[in-house]
Amino acid sequence: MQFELEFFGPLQDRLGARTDTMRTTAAPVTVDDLIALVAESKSGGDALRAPHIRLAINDKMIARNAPLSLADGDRIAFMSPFSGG
Amino acid sequence: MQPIIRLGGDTLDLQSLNRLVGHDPACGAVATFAGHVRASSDLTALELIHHPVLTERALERIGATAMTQFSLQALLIAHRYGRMPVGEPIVYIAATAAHRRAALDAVSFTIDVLKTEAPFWKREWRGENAVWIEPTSADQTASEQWMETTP
Repeated sequence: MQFELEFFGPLQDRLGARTDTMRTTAAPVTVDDLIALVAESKSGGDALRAPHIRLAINDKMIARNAPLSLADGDRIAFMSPFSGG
Repeated sequence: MQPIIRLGGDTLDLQSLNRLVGHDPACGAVATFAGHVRASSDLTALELIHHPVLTERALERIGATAMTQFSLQALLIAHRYGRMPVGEPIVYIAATAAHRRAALDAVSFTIDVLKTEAPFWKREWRGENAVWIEPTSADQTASEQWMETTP
């Protein structure tokens, strides 16, 4: 499968890119599995393991404990804690 | 009634935004909050980055919750993104209600929750150098207090 990765906020500097692509034969079944998979494959990826990082898949927020059903081409956004206003 | 949401890259014109809210004679209270770029040493600009889809959706959700929770007549949430110089407004919130407590609480709720639940990221520019601004624990506490008291 191939995923499009997006990094928002300080994560984009830690990962060194705003967007990236990842190919994998693994099939993560939990959000934590997915985070571990991406974290291990990217330089600076440990920043993704921080507890306050939020995720969205194809523009839908997903809870850290939610089950996953990923498909080829999915867009996965990793978001640093929000700081608006 | 739905909240009025304005998310854009242009300077916020507070007078125009007030006209959008209007004023129903049945409303005895209008409460507003404007957050501006605060001057600090050598700051040249503040940059707000948003998510192209999720930010507007979050503002709509927060606004709808505030309207229901505080029985508002109208609520406007306007938020700017992009780079803005010192002194310019970043966010403007206006709530109208029959009585002052509902309007004031609605504005407090909206800004407190927006800070931790709407996908925005902020960085300070000093010349060519930028530093990300992380949310504070006070921001998190303020938001959580509302979460505990709002269904």
